[in-house]
Amino acid sequence: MTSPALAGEIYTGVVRSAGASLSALGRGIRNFLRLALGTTSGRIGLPIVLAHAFVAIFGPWLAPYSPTDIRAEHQFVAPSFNQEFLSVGKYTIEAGSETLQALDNGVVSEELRSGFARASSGLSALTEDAAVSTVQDGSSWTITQPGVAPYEVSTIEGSERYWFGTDNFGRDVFSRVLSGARSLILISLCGALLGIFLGTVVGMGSGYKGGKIDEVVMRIVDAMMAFPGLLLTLLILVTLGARDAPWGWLDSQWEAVLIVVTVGIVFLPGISRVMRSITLKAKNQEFVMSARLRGESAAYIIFREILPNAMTVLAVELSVRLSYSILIVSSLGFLGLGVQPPSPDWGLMISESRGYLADYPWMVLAPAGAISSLVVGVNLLSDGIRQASGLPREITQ
Amino acid sequence: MSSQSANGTPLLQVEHLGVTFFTPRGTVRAVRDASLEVRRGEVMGVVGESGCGKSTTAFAVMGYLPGITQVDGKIVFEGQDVAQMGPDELRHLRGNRIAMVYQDPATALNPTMRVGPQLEEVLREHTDMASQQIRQRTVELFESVRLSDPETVGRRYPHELSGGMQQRVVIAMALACDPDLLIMDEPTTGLDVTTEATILELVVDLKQRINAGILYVSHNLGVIATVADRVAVMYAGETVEEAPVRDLFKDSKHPYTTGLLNCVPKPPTDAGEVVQLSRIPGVVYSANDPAPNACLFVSRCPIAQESCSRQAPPLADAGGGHLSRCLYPGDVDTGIWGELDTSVDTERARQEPVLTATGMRRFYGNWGRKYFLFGPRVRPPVRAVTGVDFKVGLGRTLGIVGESGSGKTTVARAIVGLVPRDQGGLQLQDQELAPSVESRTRDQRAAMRMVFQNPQASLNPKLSIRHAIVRSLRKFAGLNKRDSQKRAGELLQAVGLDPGYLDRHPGELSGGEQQRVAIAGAFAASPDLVVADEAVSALDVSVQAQVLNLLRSHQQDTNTSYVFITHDLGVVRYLSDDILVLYAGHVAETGPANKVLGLPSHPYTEALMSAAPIPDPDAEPTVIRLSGAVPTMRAEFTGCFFAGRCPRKVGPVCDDTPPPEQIVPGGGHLINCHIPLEELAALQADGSGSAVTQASAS
Repeated sequence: MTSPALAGEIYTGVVRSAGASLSALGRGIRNFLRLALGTTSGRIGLPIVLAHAFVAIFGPWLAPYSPTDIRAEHQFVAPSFNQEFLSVGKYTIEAGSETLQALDNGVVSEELRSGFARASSGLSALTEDAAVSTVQDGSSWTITQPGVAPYEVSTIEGSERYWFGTDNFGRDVFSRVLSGARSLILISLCGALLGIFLGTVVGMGSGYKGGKIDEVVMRIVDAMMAFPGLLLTLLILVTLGARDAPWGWLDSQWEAVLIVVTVGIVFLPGISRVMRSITLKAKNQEFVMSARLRGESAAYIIFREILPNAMTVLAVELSVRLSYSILIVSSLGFLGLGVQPPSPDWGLMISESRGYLADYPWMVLAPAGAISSLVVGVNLLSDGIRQASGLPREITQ
Repeated sequence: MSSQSANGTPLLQVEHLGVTFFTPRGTVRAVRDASLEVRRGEVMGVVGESGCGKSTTAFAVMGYLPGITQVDGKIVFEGQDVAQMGPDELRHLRGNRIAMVYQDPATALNPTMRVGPQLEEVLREHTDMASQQIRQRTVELFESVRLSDPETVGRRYPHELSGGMQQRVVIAMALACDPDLLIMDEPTTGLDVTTEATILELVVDLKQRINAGILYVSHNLGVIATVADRVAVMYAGETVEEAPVRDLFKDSKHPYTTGLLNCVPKPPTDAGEVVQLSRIPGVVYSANDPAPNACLFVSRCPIAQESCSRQAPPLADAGGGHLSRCLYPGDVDTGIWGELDTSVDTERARQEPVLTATGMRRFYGNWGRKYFLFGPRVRPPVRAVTGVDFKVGLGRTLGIVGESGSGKTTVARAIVGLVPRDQGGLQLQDQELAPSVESRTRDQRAAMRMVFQNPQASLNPKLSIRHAIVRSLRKFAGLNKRDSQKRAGELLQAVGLDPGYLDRHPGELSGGEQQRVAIAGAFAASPDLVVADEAVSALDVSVQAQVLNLLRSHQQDTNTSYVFITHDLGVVRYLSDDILVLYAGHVAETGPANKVLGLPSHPYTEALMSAAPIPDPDAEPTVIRLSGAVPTMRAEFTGCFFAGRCPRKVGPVCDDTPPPEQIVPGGGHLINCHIPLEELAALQADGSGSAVTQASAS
C-alpha cells in the first residue's frame, strides 16, 4: 500500500500544511501586535500582560522559597529585601541593623522587645529591667532580666529575602504569589476560551439558521443572561463540586475543570449575542450568497467564510472576557470554591489572610495587587485592541 | 485665465488648487492642480471618475477639509482670497454666501426632526426675520423646489419623504439664505433615474431663477451634459480640460475626455450594429505617488509622444476659451481610441429557451396579526414579485429594468434560488428547479451562476482571490487541487488579469479588478446562464466599459445566456437581446430589445427612457417626468399597477380593471396597458408635449 510515491506525497502534504499553518500563525501574531501596539493603552497593557504570562509559566521555578513550607519561626515577617534574624532563647525574631547596633551598645531596643513579644506570643515579655549583660565577639549576647533565666541571643548565619514578607505560617508571600499565577491565569484563560467557543458556535449557528430555531435559542440565551453570573457559578460548583469526578483520572483536576466549564457557560449568552449579530450582518452579504450558490454547507460558510471576518471582534471579546474571568475565578478562590489550601491561589490567599489586614497588610496586599495589576493590564490591552481595530465601544457591552 | 464673459469677474475662481492629506498610511495628493471658475447664472460641471479629486475640490471651496491637510493655490470668492479670511468671515461665507448639497439626502437631514423646523432653524441662524416671516419663507422655499403641497410637507419627518423629496428639502435648505454659490456634490447619484430627471430639471430651473453660480459635481457624463453650461474634466487631481459644454462634448481637446465619452454605451444603430465600447487601458495615476515631471495620463494615452513623458503639460488655451492640459490638443479626436468595432448583432435563432419562468411570485413576510400571534390578520405580506413570466433563449441576454423597488433583484435572486419563490414554475432547459438553492442539484447550481452588484462585498475580504475561484472549480468542475490551481490562473488571464493576482486579497484590487475576479469565478464552471444583478452599476464608466466588453465577448465565445439586471437603460440597450420592464412586481412590457425600446411603448418604459440622461448637450429635452417612488405593495392592485403615477392615465378604467395583455404584432412583444396599441404609438410619436405629468407624490 505505502508506495514511496504515496509516502512522498504525504510528506510534502504534511510539510506544506505545516508551513501554511505556521505562516498563518505568523500572520496572526503580526496582526495581533499591530493591533496591540497601535495605541497607548495597548502599549502599556501588553507588557503587563506579558509579565504575568511569564510569571504564570516560569513562576514556580523563579520562586525563591517553597510556597507551602511552613516555617513557624518566620511568621509575619515584614517585606524586606534583606532580613536578618536573631535567635533569642528558643524564639527567632527579625532584626534590623538598628537592633544589632543597640545590642552592641548593651541596650535592649524597642524593636527587639516587640519582636520578642510577637515571637513568644507575649508569653514572656522583656521588661523594662531587661539588660544586655554580656557581649561576646560581636555575634552573641545574653539578655538578663530579674526573675527570669537569661536568654542566649545569637545571630543566625545568613539572611532571608522575604520581598513580600511572610504569612501566618511563615511562608514566603512572594513565592506564593509567583506560584499562584499559573492556576489562576490558566483557569481564567481556559474559561474565557471555552466561553468564546460555546458562544461562537451557538451564536453563529443560531444566527445563520435563523427562523424558529434562532428564536428558541435566543430566548434560552436570554433566560441564561437574566441569571446573575456569580450565582450561576456558585450553583453549579456547589452541586457538582460535591460529587466525585466521573472519571478517575480527572479527580485531581475536577475542581479546576468545573470552574472552567461554569465560566464558559456564564460567558455563553453575551458572546453568542455578539457573534449572532455579526452573522446576521454577514449572512446578507454577497460573498455569503455566493458561497450558498456554490452549494457550500452551513458549517463551511459559518467557519470558513464568516468567522475570518469576525476575528478582530473575537480578539477584543477574548481580552474583555479574560478580565471578567480572572475576577470570577479569584472570587471563587476567595469563597473557598476554587483550589484548596495549602495550594497558593490569589483569591484564597486574600481570603485566608483578610483577618490580618490591619496588622500585617502585606499578606493581603500582595495577592490583591497581583490580581488587580493583571486585570488592569488585560483591560488596557483589550481597550487598545478595540481602539486600534476601530470597533465601537458598545461591541462587547 | 480664460476670456472674460459678459458677466464680468467670475463669482468663484479656483487657481492651481492642491489638496494634500497627511494620513497614517501616507501622503494622499487628492487634488494636484485644479483650476476652474464659476460665474453667476451658470452651472459649472465637474466630471471625472472616482478618486480624481472632484469632491475634494468642492469641499476645499467650502473649507471643509478634515485632519492634517495642506492646501496650495488660491480660492478666490468675489475677488477675495478665502485663505485670507478670518474664522468669523468664513462662517458667514459658508452659511450665507455659499451653500452645499450633498450626495445622500438621508444623512443631510436630521431624522428626529420634522423637515419644516429644520429649514426654519437655518433661517433663524442666518437671518433676522421674525418667526411669522420665517414660516412664510419656509413655505416659499418648499414651493420653489417644486415640492407638492408646500404648506403641509414641513410637518413630515425625513423618513416619510421619498429620496427625491428629501433631496428637494436639502436643496431648499441650501437656498434658504439666497446663496451666491451653490455647490452640489453628486446630488442625484443615489436616486432613481426618474427622480434624477426631475431634480436635474429643478437645477436647470434654479439656474435661471436665482442668479447664483452652481458648481455641479458628478461622475455621470449624461447628467453633466444635461445641466452644465461649462464643464471641467478632472483626472488624477488635475483639471485636464475646461470648456463650454457643447465644445467639450462635440470637440474635445483632451484624450481622456474622448476616452470617457467612448466608454458610454450607445444604443445599437438601426441596422442592429452594436458599437464596441472603447477601452482606456491601465488605471488612474495613484494619489499616493508624487507628481512626475510628465503628463499624468501618458501611460494610458493613445496619442502619447515622447515629449509627454518629459514635461508636465500646463492647462493651456486650445482655442476659443477651450482649456486643455494636453501638449497635442490638435491631435485629439474620437478616432484616437481605435476604430470602434461594430459587430452586426445577428438575430440569434430562436432555439429552445434555457430558462423559463411562469407565474413566478414572491411575497416577503407573513400576515401580521392584531395581537402578535393571535387575533385577526391585519397586515398582509409585501408583494415583491407577483406572477412574472419570461424566457431566456440560448446565447441571448434578457435585460430586466425598472426603478428601485420594482422587484428586479427579487427576480434575480429567485432565479438562482437565494430567495425561494413561493409560487410559479421555473425550468432550466427541461428540468423543474427547486425554489431554494440548497435543494437544487449540483449540476443545476453549476449551470446557473450569479454576479453581484458590489464587487467589494461579493468577494470575502479576508480570503484570497485564489479561494474565490478555486472553490468554484473544485465544487463544480470536479477538478483536484493541482488542476484547479492551474485552471484558476487561466481564468484570471481570460478576464484580463495577471495570474499573480491569485494570492492577493480583494482589498488590494480596484473595483473593476474585483468585478472581473467575480466574473472569472462565475464563469469557472462554464455555466449555461449567468445572472448579473446591477453588475456594472457601482463601477466607473471606463471600468464599466471594460466589464461590459468582457461580458459581451465571453457571450460570443461560449454562447452563455445572461439575465442582466440594471436600472441603466443605456447599459441594457447595449447588451440586451430581450427586455423585461418591471414595475411594482408586475411586468409592464416585455419583448425583443429593439421592439421594447421602439414604439409603441408602455407609458412606464416611455417615462424611463425619457428620464435617462444622454451625454449629448444637443439631445432634445424630454418632458415625461414621474414623481414619487415605486409603492410598497401589501394589497393587490384593483386596477392597473402603474395607475398611481401614470402620465397617460386614461380614466377610471385604469383604477378599476387590471390592464389587458396586448400583443404587438411581430413576435413576442407584449404591453400591459389599457390604451390601445395604435393610440399609444400615435401619442408617443407626436412628441408627447401635452403629457406632462403632475401626478402627486404620495
